[in-house]
Amino acid sequence: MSDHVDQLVDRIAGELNAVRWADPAQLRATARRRTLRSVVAVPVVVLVLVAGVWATVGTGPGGRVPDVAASRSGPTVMASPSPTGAPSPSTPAGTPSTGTAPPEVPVEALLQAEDVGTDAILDNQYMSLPGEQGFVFGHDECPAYAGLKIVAPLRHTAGRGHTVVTGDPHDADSDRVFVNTRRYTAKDAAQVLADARRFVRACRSYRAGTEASTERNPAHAEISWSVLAEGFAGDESVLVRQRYVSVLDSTGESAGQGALALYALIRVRDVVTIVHLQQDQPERIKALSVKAAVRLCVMVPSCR
Amino acid sequence: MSRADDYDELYRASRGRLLGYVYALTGDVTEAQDAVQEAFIRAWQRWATVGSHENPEAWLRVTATRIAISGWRRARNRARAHVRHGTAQAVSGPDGDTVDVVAALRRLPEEQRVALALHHLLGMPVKDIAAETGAPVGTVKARLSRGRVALAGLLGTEWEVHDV
Repeated sequence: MSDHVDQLVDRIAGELNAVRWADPAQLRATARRRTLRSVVAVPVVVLVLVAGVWATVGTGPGGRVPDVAASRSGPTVMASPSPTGAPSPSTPAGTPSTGTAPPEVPVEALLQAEDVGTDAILDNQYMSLPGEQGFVFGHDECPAYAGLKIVAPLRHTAGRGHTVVTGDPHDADSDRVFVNTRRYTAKDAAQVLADARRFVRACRSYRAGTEASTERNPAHAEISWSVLAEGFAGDESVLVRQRYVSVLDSTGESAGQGALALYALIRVRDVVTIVHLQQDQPERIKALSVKAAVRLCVMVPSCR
Repeated sequence: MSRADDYDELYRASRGRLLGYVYALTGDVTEAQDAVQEAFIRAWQRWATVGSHENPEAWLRVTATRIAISGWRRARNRARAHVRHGTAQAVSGPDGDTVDVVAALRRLPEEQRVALALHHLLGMPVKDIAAETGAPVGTVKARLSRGRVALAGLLGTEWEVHDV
């Protein structure tokens, strides 16, 4: 079936070749205009505030309210310079339209290749903006999940992730350490770990569907979660183990799939790092977590 | 090579892949193209960071996806709000079979659609999809498997199911 899907997606890619694209110079010009606009807007806001204070202080209590004409001629006009007329791709609503860059997580704040091994490399690096990532464990199929009303982990203000690979990055069997670091408000950061514990308590053991199930041999997955350790790194930390096995409905025997995975959540102030292994190596992940906590100090001054 | 040259080269090399991926997620080629170009604009605004990434295309993909999905949801909500005045605009762009495939993709749950697009359009290994989407490997495999079966059903195709 993969071949058929690949043919379909090849067809999609082929037909999209006819799309006409904006010149990259136009995109760069649009980016520059937006950045300029945001830079101009800040001093204008300050100027308006100062002008407001001056108007209030200068006229004293009961002073005359500035007339509309005076306001119109004020500096606020400068806050929104008109576009230069160059084409600008549309900006969907619900996304920031100004050039103000969100607070970012620097790559140095994440566990690095040398923390894992001398021949490890970084792979699959990405950044995520607010609202882009889900629950830290990703297991929203747990029947109790909806009732937990978990929201704090989804409200990160900036995020970055990468994979530390030892061996060939194209080989699925190479050793991988998955790292994801997210900045929150201080309150949400603490809640992320609290929610992780609540999740484990509520989803200690449950059944779910499995791809190992066939018409001839129906099967299900049995998934369980447990807290293995706490307080081993950073201001606060929790180590969670996930066990996943697929079981034949008829006999209760293994349907061929099973895995153990570990998630370490480490919080330092308002930053949370998640270190994830798809192997059952608790001592290794705790040692990596200590290094990950030290790395977070790049984002949290005087944290050591 | 200058910073602008690096940017332009990345734009030309990756925009097609990104468009195919976002189009598969949203089913609207215009919205997908807007999202990809918007992501490139934002990339230039912070090129010092994005350009130094080992894989800036991953950043662009995540950003374009977020833009497109929020745009698509907005359009969907708008369509619902104005249902008495007619349905949402028809998909523009490619015709025929491709539109059928993408329309079928849009009927899949979002997580299955994302898994199929990442794996088949971008060639990402299952483990990397698992890390990027925050789902275990078994779950990603299940999403791919179910997504393919559902897609086959929607397209009226009878395919034999194999492993990922």
